[in-house]
Amino acid sequence: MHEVNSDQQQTRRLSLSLALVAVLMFGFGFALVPLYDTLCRILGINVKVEQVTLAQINAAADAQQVLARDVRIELVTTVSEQLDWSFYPLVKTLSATTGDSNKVLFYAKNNTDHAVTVQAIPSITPTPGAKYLRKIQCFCFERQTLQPGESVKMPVVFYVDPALPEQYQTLTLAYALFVVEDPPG
Amino acid sequence: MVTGRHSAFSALCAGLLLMTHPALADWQLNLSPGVTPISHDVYDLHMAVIAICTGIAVVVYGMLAFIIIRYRRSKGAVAAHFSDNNKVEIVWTVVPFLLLCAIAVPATRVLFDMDDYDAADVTIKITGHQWYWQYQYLDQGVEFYSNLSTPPAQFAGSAARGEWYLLEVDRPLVLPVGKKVRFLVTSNDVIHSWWVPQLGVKRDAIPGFVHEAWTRIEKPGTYRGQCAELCGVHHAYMPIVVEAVSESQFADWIHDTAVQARATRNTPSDWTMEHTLQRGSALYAAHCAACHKENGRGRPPLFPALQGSSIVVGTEVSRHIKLVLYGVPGTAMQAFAPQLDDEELAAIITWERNAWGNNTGDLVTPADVQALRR
Amino acid sequence: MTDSQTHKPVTFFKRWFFATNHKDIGTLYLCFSLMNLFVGGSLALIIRAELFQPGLQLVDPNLFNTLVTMHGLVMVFGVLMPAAVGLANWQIPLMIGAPDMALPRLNNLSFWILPFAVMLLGSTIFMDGGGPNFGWTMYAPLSTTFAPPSTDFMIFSIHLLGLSSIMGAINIITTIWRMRAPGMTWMKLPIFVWTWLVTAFLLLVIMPVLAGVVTMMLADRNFGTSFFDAAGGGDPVLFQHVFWFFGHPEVYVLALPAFGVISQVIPTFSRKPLFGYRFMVYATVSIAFLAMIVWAHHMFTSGIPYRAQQFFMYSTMLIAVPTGIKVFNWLATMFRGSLSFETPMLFATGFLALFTFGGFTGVMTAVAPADIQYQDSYFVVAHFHYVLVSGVLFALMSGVYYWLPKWSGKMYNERLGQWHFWLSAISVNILFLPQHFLGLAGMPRRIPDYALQFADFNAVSSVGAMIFGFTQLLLLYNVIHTLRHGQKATGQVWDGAVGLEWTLPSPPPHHSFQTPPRID
Repeated sequence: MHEVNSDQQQTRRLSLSLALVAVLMFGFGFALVPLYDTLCRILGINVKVEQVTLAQINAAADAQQVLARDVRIELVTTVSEQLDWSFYPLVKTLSATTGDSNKVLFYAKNNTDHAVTVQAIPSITPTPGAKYLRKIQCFCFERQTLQPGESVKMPVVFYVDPALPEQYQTLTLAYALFVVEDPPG
Repeated sequence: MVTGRHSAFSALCAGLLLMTHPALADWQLNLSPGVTPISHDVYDLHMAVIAICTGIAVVVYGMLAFIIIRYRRSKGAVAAHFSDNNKVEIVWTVVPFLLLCAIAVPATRVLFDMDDYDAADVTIKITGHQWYWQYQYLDQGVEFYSNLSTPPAQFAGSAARGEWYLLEVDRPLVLPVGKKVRFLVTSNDVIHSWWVPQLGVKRDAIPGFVHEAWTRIEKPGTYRGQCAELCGVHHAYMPIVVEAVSESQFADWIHDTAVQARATRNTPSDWTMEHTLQRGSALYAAHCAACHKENGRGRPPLFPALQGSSIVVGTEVSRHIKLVLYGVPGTAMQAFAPQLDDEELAAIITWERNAWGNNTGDLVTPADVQALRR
Repeated sequence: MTDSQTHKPVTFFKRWFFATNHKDIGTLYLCFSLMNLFVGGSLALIIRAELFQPGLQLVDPNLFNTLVTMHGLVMVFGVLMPAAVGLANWQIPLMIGAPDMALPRLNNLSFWILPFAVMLLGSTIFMDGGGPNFGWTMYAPLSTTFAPPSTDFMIFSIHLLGLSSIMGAINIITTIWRMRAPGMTWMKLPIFVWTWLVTAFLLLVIMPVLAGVVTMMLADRNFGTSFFDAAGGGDPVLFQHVFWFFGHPEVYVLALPAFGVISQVIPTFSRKPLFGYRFMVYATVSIAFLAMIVWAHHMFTSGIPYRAQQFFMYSTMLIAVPTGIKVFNWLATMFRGSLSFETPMLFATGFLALFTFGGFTGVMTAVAPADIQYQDSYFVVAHFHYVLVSGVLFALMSGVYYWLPKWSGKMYNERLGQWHFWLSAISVNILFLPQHFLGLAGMPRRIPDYALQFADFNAVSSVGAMIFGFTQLLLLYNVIHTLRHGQKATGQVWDGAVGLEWTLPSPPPHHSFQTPPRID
């Protein structure tokens, strides 16, 4: 061969370092998943659990002398067509004053002949306004199980952060209902 | 001699000269300016970028043509020896950069204009399904499905194709002119995309999430679009038709449509086998044949055969009815309960149970279907 | 052909299946690529035949979607990438004065994975439920929850294709880093070698991410995870982010070696050194870095926030600057040169004109608000085919004509080469230019049937496709004819050619450079 032993070692070391880069990049691909979640959380998209209390938010707003204002909240639901459930908000729109707590109810009924467990997935639009709609209590935090024919009114308690920029006058809170467990009936 | 590079350039020039923008004309070369402020802005931006690119192209292709003609070895050209010049490199780095900035400024402005959250007059929730659209007017309580209405016989050419082949639906989306319309777009299954070129609106429909878009239509008319994200077998068969009408016409239409309830009905007196089969055959062709085929043989395993199927010829008619009403979770068989009424469903199921030699002799009535609805 | 150590004659089987010589492995990659060109091309011809007229004549919609998916996968992974690696294998050791690649046995494995992977991919068409039918971009959940069972095999195939690329990249970087002839400093490296060095680093970084995203698909399909399923707390748009994080740099992986070929060919036929070598190197590196931060320009309509659209619009537009630098430098190389237009130069000049045209439509699609109208329409299809077919493919063909005499020791038939070029250059425009108009008129992509208003340009495009497709047989014929009956070639081959490979006889000896040459 044309290379001396230490040359061969150096070559081997370089190839192995490059292979290591490939392995790390594979890991990076998977790291994109929590990274994406983190970014979504920072941007307020698809937030699951709130970290800050209403009192803290109002204190911050007072400190910055942000005035309370009314924001229109729209409530929208989507049920998968193959899921025979009724699911709708008792009111479709409401006027929410920023900094105040609001409670809304969603009606859900299992119209099938067997118990079904569902997960509601929230989605707030417009995206930049999403992080200002903070849910304190939400049925979307957990799975919900209803027996056949059972119906329930599920609450969502939320407030709109006064720091919501002026240009957002309407926030739409949408829930999509998905089946988690539905044994074939 | 027409060369590859020359034909591309002259076609570009021809395109600019021959710009026409009637809606959906044959041989249409250019984008339509559309009928909304955003579509106009997008069109203007599009033309501005083309103008800048054409300017650069004239320089680049002009130089290329000159070089090819002037410096041929066969004509005696002798090669020079230079191979770098920092000044000229800086020039052709900075000048394109500045041209890009010139594009970026209006582009950013249009992007910000799209980023509009002023209150809307009408809000429509648009849900993409495999393979049709669902529209819900959130404040007016009107909702319906919009299916492709081109008869399947036209696909293979056994019937003559109409002017709006593949761009026609049974129930268009009716919108008022001059009002801000807000769309909340989502999907029931896979990613679709709601695109109407003349409105300048395209928004992906993502299952589980809602994204918004908006428009303000300036002119009454009919505006057609298509699904713009591959969503399965019939991606090409879920068009969009928007009917923009005056405010008062819109109010009237809302009134007429909102009154429709999916009421239960008694079985009509003309509910005979012959009449029902006729109706069922036509409805089957419109709603079922795309997957289960005109001959009922389907495309197993994706789309089961109905001919000879144990559910279709079996004695438990209610099982057949429930399957059509509520679909089969985890498959492409959707629930038809929301979009077809009892008469339509009864007709289709009767057809299925008697066609292709199935011959069960069953005549399913609207009351039978209504009894199994939740 | 004799064994390198014992110098005993080797059998056909041993030579090719156990090949470790970079020249043989380069030949294997190039032959494999050419074969797949006809496979992927046939798929395209069926697609264009169906699209010749409105209506469904030849294939049902599911098969159409499968053809479209396979066409993309085969062309990207079976044609363009292997051809570029084939050129790399043949040329890099010759150009840097090395005896062979650094890791010859790894090289063998890198190649032989490919035929297996592609056959596995092709076999999915015959599996229950059919082959992958969700486009080469594989968006979830169409490619996960709603996909046919064969998708898992497609995922396995992609893992293998990726593994081959990663191993090849490691080999190439190691070879260039460690085995340059004494005196060959970085700024004396032939430009083709530079572009492959940068490409190899890109591959190393992005192919594992592709492996990650298809593994997530596999997990969602089989192991109950919900990476891309909203119901389980996941997000379909996450798929797009991770896929395009790979997918966008991937198109520069396809383009950079092509740029390298052009940078070798144009100086030779201009009889003048490459203009602005330094800037060409900087431009190549800048393109690679910028390529990593533009991915979401494929997602402008998917609901990403406007601020994000703004960022990706700017970064995407910025990439036009280093690309433009390259175009101007090529022009400046030709300027005041002494030009002759043998086939390699014809393809290189065709590339220059047509890739630039594709670049213009790229700038158009970078403008986010305008992209609302272009995204997922035939305008985008036209754009990427201009850069990939009349761009990258033409450049690769230029390289094949350019170096074939060196590899084989025989001259190709120049007249046939000219016919191949002119028919290709004209028909490729008939094929793809109308597609811009179709997109602007509102025709979406990936549809087997379309509204009547789109009929005229579709018919024109399909005619262009047939001409273009069959014209490629001229290349096949020329290659075979050359190998059997070509006139003997000199070592220099082209009077304007400069570089270490031209100092060797044609064909080069078994160990290429037995003793490394000194570079001053």
